[in-house]
Amino acid sequence: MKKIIKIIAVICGIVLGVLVISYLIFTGGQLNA
Amino acid sequence: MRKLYIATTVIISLALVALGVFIFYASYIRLWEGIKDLGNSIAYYFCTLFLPNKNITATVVNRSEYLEWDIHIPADVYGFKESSVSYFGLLFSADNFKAWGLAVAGVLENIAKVLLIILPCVIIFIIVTKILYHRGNTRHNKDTLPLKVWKFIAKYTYQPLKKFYIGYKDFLKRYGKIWKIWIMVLIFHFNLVTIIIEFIAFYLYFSVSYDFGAIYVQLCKLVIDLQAVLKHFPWHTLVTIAWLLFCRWRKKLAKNKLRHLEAKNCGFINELPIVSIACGSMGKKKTTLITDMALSQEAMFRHKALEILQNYDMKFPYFPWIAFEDDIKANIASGGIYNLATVKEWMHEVRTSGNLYGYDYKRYGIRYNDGLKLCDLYDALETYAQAYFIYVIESSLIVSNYSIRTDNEILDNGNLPLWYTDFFPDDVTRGRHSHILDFDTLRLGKKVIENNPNAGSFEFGVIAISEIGKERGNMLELKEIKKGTNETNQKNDLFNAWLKMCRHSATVDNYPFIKVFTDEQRPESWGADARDLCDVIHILSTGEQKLALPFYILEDALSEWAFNKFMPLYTDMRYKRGDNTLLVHILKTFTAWIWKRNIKMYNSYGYSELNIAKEHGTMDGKAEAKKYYLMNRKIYANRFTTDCFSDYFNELALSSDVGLSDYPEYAADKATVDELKMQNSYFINMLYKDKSD
Repeated sequence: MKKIIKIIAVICGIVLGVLVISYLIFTGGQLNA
Repeated sequence: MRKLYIATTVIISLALVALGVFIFYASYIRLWEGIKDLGNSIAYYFCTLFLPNKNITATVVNRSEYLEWDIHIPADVYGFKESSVSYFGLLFSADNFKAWGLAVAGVLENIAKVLLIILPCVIIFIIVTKILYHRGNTRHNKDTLPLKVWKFIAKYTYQPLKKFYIGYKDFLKRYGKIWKIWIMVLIFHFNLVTIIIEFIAFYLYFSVSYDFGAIYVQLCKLVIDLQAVLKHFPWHTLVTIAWLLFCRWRKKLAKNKLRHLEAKNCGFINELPIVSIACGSMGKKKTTLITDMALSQEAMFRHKALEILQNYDMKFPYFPWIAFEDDIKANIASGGIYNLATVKEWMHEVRTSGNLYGYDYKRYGIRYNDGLKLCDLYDALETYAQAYFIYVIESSLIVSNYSIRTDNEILDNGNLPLWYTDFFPDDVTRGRHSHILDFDTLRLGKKVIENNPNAGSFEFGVIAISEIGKERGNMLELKEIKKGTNETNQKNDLFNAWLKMCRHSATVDNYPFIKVFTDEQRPESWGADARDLCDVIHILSTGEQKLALPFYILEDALSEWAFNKFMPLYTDMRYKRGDNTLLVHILKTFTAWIWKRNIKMYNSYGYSELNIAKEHGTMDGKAEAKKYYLMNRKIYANRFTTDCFSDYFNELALSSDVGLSDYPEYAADKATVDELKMQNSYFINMLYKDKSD
């Protein structure tokens, strides 16, 4: 159970990280556009 | 094949040159700019220091005249500040967030479309394969037609490529200069040399000008210089490189953690007295524990011997130690020195002869005052010689009643040899094995072999004895044995006396180079006279396997998922069919690869915790809770076999003509009288004997 929670947390972390980075890059692109 | 490797090397080298000429030429123009900046900065540095009247302007603070600013970077700090304000304003704007949401939704829509197309294909594939592979057969080891086609294609495409890749990798390893030159060329291509030169140029400029305002321009120049790498590599290549660097970083972290755990183990071992006994029921890893401790102790003895050498070197810093070491080495080679006693004897000769190996004692002195006593040079030499003998002896320091493999390696350039005692090397090592323990060497009284040439020879080292209670027995077991008999037994061999005095032969510079690790299921199985000398280590439980490698949880889960999904399918296929099919071949290849990778990770970076309770051998105090760490890479790398006495039972089984399947089975749920009598049980025999009486 502990392992499944860990795996879910890691996946959520990765997805969240990708979204945040994509938002930062997108904003940078909007600034330069 | 060698010609093909040479041709490949030439082609790759030419390709690198072509890349430099057609793609990365800008890096070389920037390199020339960097060299000019460096020359200018050197002139600026020296002129500012020594010729203050001479006015030189440093060019390193200017932007590159050649490289264009492809990346939108503000020209100065003020521009950067303005852009930052605009950026953060936009970052928290609702409109921008909505626009980003729409962009993400667009990407997700495309992914969903692809999934919708793939999903029916996957379902059709599953149905078709189920129909195709449903019928069973017993065509043992025959390949199906699709598999034959697959193997045929692989034979002429993948296999030769793989063979070539492996061979070429070995070729490059053999001629290391080739890939080193390639890396150098790539460093130039990627503008990394310019970055280093520009850094040195700016360092020289900044160290005399303290121009903080120029730092921003340097950061901009750094980003622009890195364009050579970022522009010419597709994102997936950069991600792969980043992944490889990430893996390397986490492996380094994992090794550091394992070394930290090993240091904790060493701390635990150092707290133990000279003799200890590990106890626990069968399968609790008693022998594993004493083997692990013996390995650590051996490495610690080498380190301690080196520490003594270093300390004595400091006591007489101008003594020609290397000349002294050469003399010891020559005596070891000639057989004059083979144990600590012969070292002392040889030192007596050196002392008598007055040989000082060219040491200028009139200038540097012959005595050292450590605040407690005056240490004579010859006394120091005697200690040094003993420690040196322990340090350089090129064999295992472990003597055991079962085989233990050690893989410490001596590195010798003809000067002071160094021991490589890392338990976590990258490659698999061969190593050497421990010495056979002749118990007569540990007996001060009667010996099993009369006039045993080994008797009395043991001075220092690590002794590991598995199942000590069976060897030595306890008071109850030895009740019938008499001390005064002619035969050697546990009561007249004075083994316990040796145990109590063993440190006397092994002490060098007040440090005992001896440790005895034993194991037994119950501490009471070993007689109290010896056991009272020990610390008893009770193994309470073995913890789960843990991994020192960080960020591995997803790969671990993927491996487990792939294995758990594949195994039922594979077992079912093996039950139904005897032939080899393409589906199983592909799935097995993938699953085996991912499974083997996972096993390798656990073998290299896995560890488990032993929960132990340590108490005095008198067993009348409170046990102390402790932890000991068993690192897989250290203890399971062919160190010992858990069935160390299996050959005895093997011989017994070979002498019998009966196997498990030959034993008669019970005919029904309840055993008959004849079946009970077949057990040859004391209890059953007693019951029927009473009845017959």
